[in-house]
Amino acid sequence: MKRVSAKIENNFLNAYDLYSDQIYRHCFFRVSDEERATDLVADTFTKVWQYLAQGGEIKNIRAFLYKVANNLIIDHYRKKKTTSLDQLAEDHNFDPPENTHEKIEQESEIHLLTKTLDKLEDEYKEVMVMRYIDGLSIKEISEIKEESQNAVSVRLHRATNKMKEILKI
Amino acid sequence: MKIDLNKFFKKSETISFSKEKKEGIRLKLETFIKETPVIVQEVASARNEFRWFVYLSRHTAMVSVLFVVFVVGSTGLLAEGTLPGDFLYGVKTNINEQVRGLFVGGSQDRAEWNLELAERRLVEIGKLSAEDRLSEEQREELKRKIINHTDKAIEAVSLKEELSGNEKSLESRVELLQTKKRETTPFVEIESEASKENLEQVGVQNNEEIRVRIEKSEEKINSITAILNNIKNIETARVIHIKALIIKARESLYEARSDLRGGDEVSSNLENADRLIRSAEEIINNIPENTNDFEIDRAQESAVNKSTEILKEGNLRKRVLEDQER
Repeated sequence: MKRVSAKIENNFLNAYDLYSDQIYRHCFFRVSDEERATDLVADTFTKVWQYLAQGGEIKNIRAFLYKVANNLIIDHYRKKKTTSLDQLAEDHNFDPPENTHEKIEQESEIHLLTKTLDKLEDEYKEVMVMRYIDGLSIKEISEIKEESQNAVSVRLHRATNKMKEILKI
Repeated sequence: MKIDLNKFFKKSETISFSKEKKEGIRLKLETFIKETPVIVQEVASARNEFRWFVYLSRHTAMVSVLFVVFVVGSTGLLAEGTLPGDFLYGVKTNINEQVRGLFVGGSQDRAEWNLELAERRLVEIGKLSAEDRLSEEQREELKRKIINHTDKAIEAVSLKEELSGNEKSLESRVELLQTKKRETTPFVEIESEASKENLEQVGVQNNEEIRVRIEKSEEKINSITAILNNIKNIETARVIHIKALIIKARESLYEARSDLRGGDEVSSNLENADRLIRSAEEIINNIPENTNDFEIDRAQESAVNKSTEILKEGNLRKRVLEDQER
């Protein structure tokens, strides 16, 4: 039994090494707050371990992590409104600042991206982040959201149009 | 400004966890894992070795309840076949019947249940009488119970009021029902094929007209359902009343037979039996014909046969007495 327990621990830590960056990125673009995103990653993995420790079974760890993170983000929005993204350009903690021309250009583009996403309604923002930033398939998003693939596709289509409208493409 | 959406999102890949934070969370998770190990499987393995002991010790309450249910159930079942004077007769009347009575709801069901209790007492009189161990006290007690139960049955369905108020209008109600059915049928057909095309095909064009017509048909269907339920209730009440009367008649007949078999005061018993038989016959004759209830027709026939049989027995006994006097 100890061997089984060790295997579960090992698999869980491997999942952390593999997916923590993706979950962090997802959380960051959803809550637009670096510190909060870090806390959300920690909370997500803690909750998933608690579930495993109680004998829970997980078929698709990646989808499950997104599902837990998504629920925590919803809770976060319920508790308080997100902070303004106008301050984002001033936060450089996620990457050490370098005063190269290329780096400054990159940061301004990320600032534009987060600012644009923030203008979308949350239901559109959610699917755009999952599809284009996390690289999840429509099927995976529908599983995480527990909705039909058709519903996800329609929302994604509307979100893309809305984003194009904002960016005046 | 022209922006390619894919390239635009591509920039998001530059966002990543700082190594320090990633390692920090990993260390915290490792500690958390040690503090919260997977324990479900270990409990399961311990259970395998002492499976029955663990099961019984954890389910003592459930096992005890099952045992009590088994004992009570067996006693209750044994008590069902007992007669007055038997050891378990009290369990039958005070526990089994009382408990079953608790689950009876609604006036019709209560009436049926009281009739069943009256029938049970009647069967008990029959059995005791056949075994020749029916005492005077038992007979009086059982008779009192039968009257009590049949009265309760009649009371439960408030029969007198319902019959006097509705019996006369029963035929007119059926007639009204048939008229309403004829009126409603075309609307019901329209409603069942409620698509616009179908409605247009039957010549109904105006939406408002369709709505009003469907609403009217719904009202009519509701009123028909109410009438049908009312008729059903009246019919059930009538059947229960007749059943109660037959039970009373049979009770009189059993009593008469008991009097006929009594040895001491033969002539007075004969007179009494004669009176009881007439009373039973009167009840039977007053039961309306054509009840459309097979069970009642059979019970009525059986009561008449019983009455004839007891009369024959009485006449035979009279002749024996007359011969003895000579």
